[in-house]
Amino acid sequence: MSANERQDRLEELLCDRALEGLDDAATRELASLGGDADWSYDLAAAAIDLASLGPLEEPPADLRAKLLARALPEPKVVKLPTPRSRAWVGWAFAAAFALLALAAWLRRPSVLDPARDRAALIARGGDVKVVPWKATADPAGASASGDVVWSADGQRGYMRFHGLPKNDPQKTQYQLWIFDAERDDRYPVDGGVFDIDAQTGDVIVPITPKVRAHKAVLFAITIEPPGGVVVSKREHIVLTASL
Amino acid sequence: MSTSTLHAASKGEPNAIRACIDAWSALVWTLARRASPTREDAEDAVQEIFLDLWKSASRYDPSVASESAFVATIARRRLIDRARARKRRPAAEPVSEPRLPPSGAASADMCVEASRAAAALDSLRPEQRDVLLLSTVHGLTHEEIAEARGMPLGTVKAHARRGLIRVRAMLVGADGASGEVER
Repeated sequence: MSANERQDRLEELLCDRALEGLDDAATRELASLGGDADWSYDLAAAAIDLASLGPLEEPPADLRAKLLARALPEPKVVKLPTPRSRAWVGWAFAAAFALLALAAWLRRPSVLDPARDRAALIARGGDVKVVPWKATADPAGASASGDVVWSADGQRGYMRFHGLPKNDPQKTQYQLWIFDAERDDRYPVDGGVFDIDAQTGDVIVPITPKVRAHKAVLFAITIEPPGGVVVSKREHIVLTASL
Repeated sequence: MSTSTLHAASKGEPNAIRACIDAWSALVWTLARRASPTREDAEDAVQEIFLDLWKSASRYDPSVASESAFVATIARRRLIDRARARKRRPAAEPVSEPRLPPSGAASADMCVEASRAAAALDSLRPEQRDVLLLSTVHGLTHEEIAEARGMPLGTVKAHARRGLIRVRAMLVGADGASGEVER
């Protein structure tokens, strides 16, 4: 095949692909001629589509929801086997909690400068992990971002938020939940309630779990009544962060 | 919308994905409705097109095309694949009346590529324009156009290709560089 014939055939295949598509044999031939990466003819055909469209039609509302659902799957919650017996669990928690509370108090971070404490925790390294928040479909998290710093050994960490809407503590509060791979995921660890009272800049909130999260796998922020709840209905899951 | 939004969407960032769906769902839906035999088929097509968009968005280059043209190209590829899989042509307006919408319609203002394509189509010989619109907008095969117009198949193919080459030349420009982009 001469160079001119090759160019003519290449152009023919590119036009055919843009107008009608190609079968497998023609697709292979186009690749052999080195033209499979040239999408300028397809772009030209698309431009003709655009020039001929007229007013756009709004898609069905449920279609948009489907598009979001396929692009943004629900946060994965770890399914765990139910513990065999709970008879001794209450006492064990009480004792452990007392010890943990003492230990936590002894190594408590400074409440005066959480940003500095957060940076220090990150700098320490070791088992410290930093994971970004992911917004859910809930509108409250639409503009929110930030991250979670967590030390499993130290059972402490920090949440950083940017763009999380300010809340009225008299009406609602944010509550952190820590999903523990060693616990029933119906009852995640309560990470405490907090408020966002700043509209600009980063907000840093220390994490103070009520009980030890042995193997944290997921952090989730919900919106709850003032004071928080013991068990969330999970009706407003705003942000999640997976370890 | 910035380049980073499309690129961010390709990485799965939720806000960027929402922004892309808000920006392009109407365009994609309108293209899909025109190229699909039923409303349900169009809904399936839209979902497939957005999946293709998430996979392709990282390759978007504003120096090559506007975002509208990029999204429309992704959509067109998927719609052609679906039509070929159905082995029949999509529902279309009557074969005898291929035309661009009246002046003042929103489409030519959608992006620079659309306005240049409209200008290029106006410059074509009537038979080239007719065949090209029947092929691109109405989705008819060359064989179907040949039968509808009583034209030899080879002539149909030549008209369609020369017309598309002319439109492409208007978009690419004499120096081979792409034209202006929308944003």
